[in-house]
Amino acid sequence: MSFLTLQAIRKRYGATMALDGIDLGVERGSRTAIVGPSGSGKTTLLRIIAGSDTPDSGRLMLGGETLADGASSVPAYRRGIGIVAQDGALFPHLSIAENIGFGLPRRDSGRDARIRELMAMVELDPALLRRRPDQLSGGQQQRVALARALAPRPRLVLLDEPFSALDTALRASTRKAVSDLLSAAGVTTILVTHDQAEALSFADQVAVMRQGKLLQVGSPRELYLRPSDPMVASFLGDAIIIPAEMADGWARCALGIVRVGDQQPVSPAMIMLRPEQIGLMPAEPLTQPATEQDVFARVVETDFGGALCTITLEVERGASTAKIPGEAPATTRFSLPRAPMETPEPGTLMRLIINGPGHILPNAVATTSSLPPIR
Amino acid sequence: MHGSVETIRPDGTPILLRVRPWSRRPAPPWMAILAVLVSAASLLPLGFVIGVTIQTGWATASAMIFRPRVGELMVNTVLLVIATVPISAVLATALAWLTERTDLPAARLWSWLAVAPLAVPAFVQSYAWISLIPSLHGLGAGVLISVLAYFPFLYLPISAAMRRLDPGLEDAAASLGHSPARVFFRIVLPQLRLAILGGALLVALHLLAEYGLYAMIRFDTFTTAIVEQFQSTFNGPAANMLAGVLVMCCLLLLTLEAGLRGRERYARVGSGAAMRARPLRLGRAAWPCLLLPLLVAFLSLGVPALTLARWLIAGGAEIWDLGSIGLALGQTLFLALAGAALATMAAIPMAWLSIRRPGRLQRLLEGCNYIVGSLPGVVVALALVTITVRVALPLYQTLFTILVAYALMFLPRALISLRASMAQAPVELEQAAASLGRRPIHVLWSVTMRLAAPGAAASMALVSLGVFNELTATQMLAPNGTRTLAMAFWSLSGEIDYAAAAPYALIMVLFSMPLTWLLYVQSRRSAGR
Amino acid sequence: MKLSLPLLASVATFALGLIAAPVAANAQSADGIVVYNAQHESLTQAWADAFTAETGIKVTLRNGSDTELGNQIVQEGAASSADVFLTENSPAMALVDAAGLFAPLDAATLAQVPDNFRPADGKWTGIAARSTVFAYDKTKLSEDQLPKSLLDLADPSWKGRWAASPGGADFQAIVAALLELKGEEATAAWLKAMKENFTAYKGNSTAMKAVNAGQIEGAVIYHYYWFGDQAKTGENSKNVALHYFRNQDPGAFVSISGGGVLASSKHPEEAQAFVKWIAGKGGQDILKTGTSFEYAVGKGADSNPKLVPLADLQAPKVEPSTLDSKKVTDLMTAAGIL
Repeated sequence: MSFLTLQAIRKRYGATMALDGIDLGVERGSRTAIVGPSGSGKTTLLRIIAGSDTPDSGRLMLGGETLADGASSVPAYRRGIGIVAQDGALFPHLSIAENIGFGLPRRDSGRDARIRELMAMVELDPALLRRRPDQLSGGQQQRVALARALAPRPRLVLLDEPFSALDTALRASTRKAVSDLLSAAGVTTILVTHDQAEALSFADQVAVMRQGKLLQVGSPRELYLRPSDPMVASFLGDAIIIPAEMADGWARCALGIVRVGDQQPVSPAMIMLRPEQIGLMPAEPLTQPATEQDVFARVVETDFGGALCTITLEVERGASTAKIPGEAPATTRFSLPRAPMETPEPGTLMRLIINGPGHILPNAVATTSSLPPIR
Repeated sequence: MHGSVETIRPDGTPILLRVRPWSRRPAPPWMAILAVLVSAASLLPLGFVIGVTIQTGWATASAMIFRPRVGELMVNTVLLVIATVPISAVLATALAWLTERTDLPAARLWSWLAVAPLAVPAFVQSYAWISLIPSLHGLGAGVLISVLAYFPFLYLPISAAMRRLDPGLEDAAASLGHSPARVFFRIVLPQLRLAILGGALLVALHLLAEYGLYAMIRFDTFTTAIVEQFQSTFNGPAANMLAGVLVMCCLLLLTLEAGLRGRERYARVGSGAAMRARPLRLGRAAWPCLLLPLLVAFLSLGVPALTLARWLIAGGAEIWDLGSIGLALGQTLFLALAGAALATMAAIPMAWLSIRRPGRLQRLLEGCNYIVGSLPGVVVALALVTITVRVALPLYQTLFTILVAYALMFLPRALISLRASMAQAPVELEQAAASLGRRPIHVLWSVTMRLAAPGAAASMALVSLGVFNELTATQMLAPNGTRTLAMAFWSLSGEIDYAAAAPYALIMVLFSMPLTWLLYVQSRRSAGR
Repeated sequence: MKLSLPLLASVATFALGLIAAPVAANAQSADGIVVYNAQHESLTQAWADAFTAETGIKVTLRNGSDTELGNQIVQEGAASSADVFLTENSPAMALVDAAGLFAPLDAATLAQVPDNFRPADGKWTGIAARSTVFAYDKTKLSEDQLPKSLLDLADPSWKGRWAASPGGADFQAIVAALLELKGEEATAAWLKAMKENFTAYKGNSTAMKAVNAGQIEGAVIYHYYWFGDQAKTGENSKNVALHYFRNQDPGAFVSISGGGVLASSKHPEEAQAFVKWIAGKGGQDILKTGTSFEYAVGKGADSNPKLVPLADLQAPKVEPSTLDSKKVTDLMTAAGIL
């Protein structure tokens, strides 16, 4: 059994099913990210773990202790679970020192030392201790919030979109600092975010959530490369999802013939390619003679965006086009990110080179109408 | 550059307005001049107190001030304040918590019922109680009726502050191992401090200023003693000196509140949108919890309703002397609207200055208005009587003087709504209008005032409510032949013709209801709901 | 400077309003007379209505209490808007008279009222009278337990047992009579004892109501509150009986309500007519038949038959013009009662 175990947690608000049978295990000392679009129920899940809310049904256990079983629930203040909220939720009427020391016993002789230790841990100047929260920058506030949450040495720390209120530049550095700090402290952590990059870079385990359900749980690499369905695939990054015909561990699709792993082929299937898998070569002059399997696409539009530009291509001559029975093949357009110096002029014909295997989406039904827009 | 103006609403809600000074150009002098003139006029009552003390001479003044009777009044007044304010604060906080933070059944109804007592003038509340329990008198009765009449002044800002509280703070505190009770005292209560202080100040100032409530239950305060002296000697030195002491008490309260308030602003830290708190489930505790709002509503609204009904039934058709009642209603409405119009107009320059040209001058002027607005009506009236009799006799006992008194007394009320809505008229529009070749005065009229019109209407409503139920200043200053609803009610109930007084009380309550509703809606809106 | 029409209009209205307001306020006195009325509003209103019906002269009332309005007239001096001043008691009349602000009354007016109900100088006249009484709770006090004299109420045995309305002109008139009859020293001593013994109520009605409700044993008030209540429902007086002190005691003081015409009146004829009318048959009849239950004072005028006849009251002789309201409020203020 995991350190933190959630079993069939359900929660309903009026007509909305906020959580619809959540099962999740979190190992001791690990970092888990729950990622999903807003309204997916991830904050509700966090509140139920923290004890700010009670589930309608299901079990929640931490370190072998049952925290919630149906409506009977251990109150938040007896759970020993720390929270860092989106905006830090620092107590505006207390100084930084009082904020950090809030969860420490008042008469504890080691209290001041602990506060200073925590300030050092989150790399803040002890001179800030006497200030008020509104005199600190957003990044500093988040660090104080973290120090405050860690002060009573919680068994579990919950981070509720703690970086989303920060500027882009500050966000990455704060995230890195927090991540390093938490792994150094060995605290079990759950991060809730709607930012997939944040989730993937932060966690050992990522859970993708949508409409009150966990769609897939796994390591970041697994989820990114082997998503279980189009939603997970496109949520975690740009994805090209197209129908393909399967044969002998190869998939034949509009972009060419792609190796697929040892997945059981069901034909036709939907396969996913990440844009970064697709290389482009100018079609002329031909460095290699074109084979039947080569696929050519013409650049129809380029969008200059600084470091990353987007080019849109339209397949002109595919090796083969997987057809959905009964439907006419659609023109296949897709977009790729490219560095500015590698951006060809519109009208240029390019040859496509696909690196690495494609991934068959097991939970996708291969109909064109189910295709997410190819990007 | 961002400046911020911190202030409290008439209901005591602290509001924070983010204001962007338009430019570094000096204010149009005519606006500043108007504002200075209004403020100078508003200092008349203070000048009067000082002037009259000097004129009386220290020997007489000290004999009038340092006498046992003043000591008695001081003890009464202090006891009244220190008993009523904390009880009201606890009651208001409990009600606000139940209506805002729990799933109390019919919470919106109870919330409205906790504001509705403002529609019952304090002296009508007193009348209701004294005719229910004739032996009611003294400090205990004073505290009971004062709490019932004035606790909404605390309920309004506290409930608004509770709605604005970030539940994330409470969750964070709970996650740090603090029980709900400790979270309430260490996190919730400190954040309500400004609201409680603002409301407490308002209640305390009302306690100092109220006459009718205490006269009915034979509880002597400075204000009742001043009125009694006035009735015996007109503006004799004893009345004036008592007024001086009363002014000192008011200034003391203002200083005390400012000191306790400190320089802190409990702005929400962080930029994320505050989450709405999920109401606490009361479960089986809901029914006992319902007893509190039920009891308060019964005492503060049920008792007046029952008493009024009883006298209206006992009086029958006989007490509806429509001629007199209609005349009184007409006069009252006229005074209320005219007073509101004057107060609102007088507030325009100040409001504009504080939004568009905040600075030292504006703060000074605003301070003056605020102080005078917190002086009891009896002091303002006494000052205007003395000044007009001695210096400006043609203005004495004219409509003009009584309207000026209303404007002075209710200027802060008018200022606050007006300022809040002017702040919402974006300066960019003024700039755009100016760039299209409009003159400043024209811009003010055609852009700012048009956009601020709802706020101006709200200020007028608030001032009207004040004037509508005003008794002491009206009695002392009104032109010959004036008989407002409050005056008629007072004179009839003074002769213990409680039945004949009932229609007047009923009309005052009925007309105050919509205005109180407006106040309630405004406070909810200010809290984002 | 280019100004918009609405702005101009509003500024103009405002300015006009400022100018017009005082004018408008004074306009009401342009036709008819202004009466500063300290008598019961209902009584004066009845007088004014009947007078207006008879003569067509409009009457505007400004209501207040005796000394408040008296002092006000003195402060206003010649600029007072008052044409007529009516009081419940004499001291305020004496106050205005002493300031020389009354015009002599028409001889015809004075001729309607006996000498003992008006001052010798003829500047004002009595229009009604009221007797001091000790209104007591008949369920608690028997006749032999009643005070023999007003002065007895200073005795420590009366501590906490009696009430008065010290802020009212009525009680202050009684004190003025005491001052006139017994001198300053005795009065100051009596007031000092009173401060210890009495309970203050606002208004005589309230004091009587308290007696009726058993909150206090007795109250020093005027007689007509009891009769007025009895004529209505008796709800506030059913347990109350009246004790007349008689024997020329200060407590048997009969207070004279006065009426006078201001020398500054801009409508002296109408004002004189009004006072004459009140002191005459029309006004005095209203006292007899109305609900005020005050004594009529006109020659040959009868009071309400329910009242104890004036002649039986054995009131002390007090010259109304000598009653000193200023001294009384000073003494009461010094005693800590005000």
